[in-house]
Amino acid sequence: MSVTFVSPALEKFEELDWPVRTDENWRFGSWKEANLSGLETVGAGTIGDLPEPLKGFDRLVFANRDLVSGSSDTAELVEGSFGPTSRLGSSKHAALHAAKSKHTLHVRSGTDLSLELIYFVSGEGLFLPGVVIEAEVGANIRVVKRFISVDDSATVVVTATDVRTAENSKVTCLVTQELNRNSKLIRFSDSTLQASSIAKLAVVHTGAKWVREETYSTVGGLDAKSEILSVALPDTGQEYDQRTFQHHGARNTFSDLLFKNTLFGKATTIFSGLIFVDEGAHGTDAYQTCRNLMMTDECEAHSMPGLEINADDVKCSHGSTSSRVSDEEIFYLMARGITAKDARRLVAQGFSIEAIERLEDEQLETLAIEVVSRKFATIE
Amino acid sequence: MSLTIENLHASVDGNEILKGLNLEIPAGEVHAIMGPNGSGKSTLSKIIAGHDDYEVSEGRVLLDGVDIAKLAVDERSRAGIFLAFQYPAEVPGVSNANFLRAALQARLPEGEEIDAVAFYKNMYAKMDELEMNRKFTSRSVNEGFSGGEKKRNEILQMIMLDPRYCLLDETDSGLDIDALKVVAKGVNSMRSENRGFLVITHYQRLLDYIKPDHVHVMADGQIVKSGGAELALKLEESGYDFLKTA
Amino acid sequence: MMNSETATVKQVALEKDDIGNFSFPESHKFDAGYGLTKDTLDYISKVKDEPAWVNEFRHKALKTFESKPMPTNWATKDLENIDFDAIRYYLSDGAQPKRSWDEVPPEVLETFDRLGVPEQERAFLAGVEAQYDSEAAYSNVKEALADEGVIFVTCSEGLKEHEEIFRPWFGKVIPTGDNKFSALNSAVMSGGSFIYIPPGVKVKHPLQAYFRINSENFGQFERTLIIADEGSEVMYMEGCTAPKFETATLHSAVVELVAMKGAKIQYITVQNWSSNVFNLVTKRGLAHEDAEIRWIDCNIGSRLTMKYPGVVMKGERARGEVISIALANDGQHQDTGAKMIHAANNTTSNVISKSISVGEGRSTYRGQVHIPKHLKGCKNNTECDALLINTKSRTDTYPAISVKGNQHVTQHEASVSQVSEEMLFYMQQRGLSETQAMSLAVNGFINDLVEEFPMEYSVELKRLIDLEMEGSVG
Repeated sequence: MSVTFVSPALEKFEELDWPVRTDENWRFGSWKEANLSGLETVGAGTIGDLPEPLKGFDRLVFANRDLVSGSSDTAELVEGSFGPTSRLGSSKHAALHAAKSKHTLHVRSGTDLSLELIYFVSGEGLFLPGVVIEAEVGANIRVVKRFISVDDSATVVVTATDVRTAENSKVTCLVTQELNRNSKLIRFSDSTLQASSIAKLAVVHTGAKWVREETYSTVGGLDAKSEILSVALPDTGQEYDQRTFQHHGARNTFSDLLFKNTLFGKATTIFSGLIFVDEGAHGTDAYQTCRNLMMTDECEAHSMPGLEINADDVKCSHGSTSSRVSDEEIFYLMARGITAKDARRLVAQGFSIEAIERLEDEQLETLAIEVVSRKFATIE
Repeated sequence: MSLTIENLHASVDGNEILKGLNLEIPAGEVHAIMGPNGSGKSTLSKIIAGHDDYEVSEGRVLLDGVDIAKLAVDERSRAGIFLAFQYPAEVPGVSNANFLRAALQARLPEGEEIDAVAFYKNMYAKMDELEMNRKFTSRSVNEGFSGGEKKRNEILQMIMLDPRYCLLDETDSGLDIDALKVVAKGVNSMRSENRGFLVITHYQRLLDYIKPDHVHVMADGQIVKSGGAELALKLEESGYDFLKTA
Repeated sequence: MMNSETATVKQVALEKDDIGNFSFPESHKFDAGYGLTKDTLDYISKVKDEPAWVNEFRHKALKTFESKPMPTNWATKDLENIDFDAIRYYLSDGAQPKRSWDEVPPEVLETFDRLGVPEQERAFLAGVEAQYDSEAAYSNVKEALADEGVIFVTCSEGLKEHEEIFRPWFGKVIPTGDNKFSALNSAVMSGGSFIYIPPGVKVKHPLQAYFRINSENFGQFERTLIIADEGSEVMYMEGCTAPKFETATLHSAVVELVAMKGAKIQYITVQNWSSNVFNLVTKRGLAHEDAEIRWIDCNIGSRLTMKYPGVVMKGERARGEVISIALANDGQHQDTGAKMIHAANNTTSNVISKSISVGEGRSTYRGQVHIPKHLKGCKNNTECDALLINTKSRTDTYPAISVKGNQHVTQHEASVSQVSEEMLFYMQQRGLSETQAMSLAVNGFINDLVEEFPMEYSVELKRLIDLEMEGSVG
């Protein structure tokens, strides 16, 4: 497999429009936040405090788009964009990335690889990183990508990841973002799976004031399995807008999406997920679950789980629930001497962990739990 | 009158499972088939029933002298073949009573209707004998049933449909002793000179309660040994390895 | 279909002060011609002898209809095939096209046989007779209702003779501008029922306008308003399982229900329009404190049905429910769903939708659940299941659930499945033919919901579904 870099598509970008209220793909969403006109790309960045390294992982540290430390045989940094596609309503942002990104990390391996990418983000303006992960036949690749704000500057991160798994390969990818409350994040996550390959892609959202994420998974090879996981913990002043698309184009494919949102304060989440099964994609097993845990009286959750099924021998289901922490659970914990506040926190953490445990990778799970705990500590 | 299998060769997904099987089950007799996993025991019962996943490349199955190759699954059933499934399917929303009624109705000539009163009377009587709670009539077929309940349901259907030849596919799997006894009692009550049984089992234990007239051992798609009831005991003692030496 | 001997379910127009004296209006031939203009509306008002306020209402609605775009940004592009200029917006009884028995397709006759439709009804349904003479059988029922003060008349009569009850609620549950098709209906409405149930009255027998006088009631633009006063109860049935001869290709009805405190309204529809009809309906109920509104809907016919029954739960502890069965066969698209708007504390909504897609049929579920800020104790449960029968069938599900605050519980589950090979083999091994097995499985899938329909309907529904399933197997 090779990646062709698209030449700057500035013209295309300029032809497209920013989203408007009547766009179906922006239903319930904050289309105004998506208007990025007038913003320029950020310059050089600075480094923050480095987190503990992950054992056994190669580590690359970036300050905005510049590599400041670390190296890896399997990763090549190229100046340009790999040209992400948006199919869920943000074509102008995808075109922006294609036109102006000066940073694509190309990761490729045919064997085992564990890679940690730390992105320190700063500056007022746009930061447009991209990562392409190619797992060749038989490879087992683990990638952790962490976005960390260095200061309070309002950065708009438009990031694109493209995961491609060849036959019998596996990719496990965990993305976390601890951006400051002035920043915005627009994220494209694409994955294409060949026969008998596995992709487990997880994201933990705790930072930024506004996130718009589009995840598109194409399970195109016989017996391929795609798992898409998300843990989101927005607080007052934070809105997370996540749109997903599970596309089944081959027989006997499997996909499972599990999104767990815990809403605090006046937070808002929007989830829209479509499972689309092509004609002829018999034997498809596809699931989608979105659970919202409402922690206060003022948070707001919108869910639009969808199905478009064009083949008949399939098993598909989706479910979406919203609820509060049950009184019985709180009572039980309090009866063991735990305060009400701690009890609620424990239950909420337990709620998020189910999605994290699906990673089936202890190191990645530990990291995710740390990020989640840090967020809990900031909440009243 | 018999259910006769002549030189049957059959495959699924291109793999040959039955490799020239010969077997005759005369009406009035109970034949047992035992064999190691992968010998093709379950396949045999599905092929006799007419499952279209399987392809018969050679040989034939004769029901009282008639070749049933061209008959569809339901036609074979109405001709008198009953298969008690190893894993009975669930049919949500369709009550056990309605299902049985529909099956019985399908056997009546055009224009004739099942007498509802007689049907229920008969069904309840049989359910009582099988120690089945009458509430099962209104539950959906096999939905939420335990293993033992499903097997009893299969026997109830067998009794109600009055078949000529009964194929019991590992009817004993998942049953405790008490359930086993009840099921065996039901089967034994059906024994008559007009009816033949093929009991497919992995363990000898069932045959303590349903005493066979003949026991056959199946291995690698064929009958490799036949004998009386004592053959089953021999197998129990020595395992299937003894076939290699015997 | 309804057995005329039972006489429990038919009701005919009731003159307010002339009980027992039922008369057919004279059979005039009124035809507004093709196309929709201001003149069309004036023609309709004149024929119906309407008060000025109604005529004004129509004109305002026409303007709204013209200003709204087709909702093809979310709905099917098939809507673009509607030619508004080629439609006749008002055709009275005497002018309805008729045909001879020879012209009635054999399948239609066969369906009548299979469903057991009584002879006298067949003529009306088949379009051989334009009118159905229902007077004789129903005088008992009429009297009983009149004794209790129940008003059950045509919509035209309602707005003329009972303005003081009618007008306060008319157009309030579904404002003219709600969508393009409610605006169209508001402009050209004719036919439909007006029902008022006085406080405390629980109407024992389901009310039904099926065989009311004339074809206006199978009209394209029916407008129905049902008001159940405090503590009252009523069940209303519309439509029928048997196919009806239909030349009009656009049906756009509006149904408004108002359940006052503690009242209960159940509205049951069975739709089996012929496969050339675009059936675009707006239905909504307003439930006050402790009231309950249930929509029980079965969509089997038409080329395209778009219908999202809704309940606005305005009073505390109000309950809204939508139970829906849809069957989409070749060339059909059933686009149905539910809209539950919670506007008071402790309200509950429940949606159960089951769809079956056969051949190349397409079924779509669209749902909306809205629970706004500062409400407490609201609950929603939605379950939508789709059954696919053949390789070419298609099903889509697009629900949207919006919840604010932590005082509520919502649950939405959807699944898609097919009748498994394993299940079919099992049933066939018991002697059922493949068609019979499929039929049983499909009826099993919708069984729970069919039980919600009144008994006469449920028996026919099952038969109708069996009919639709035939030829779909293999």
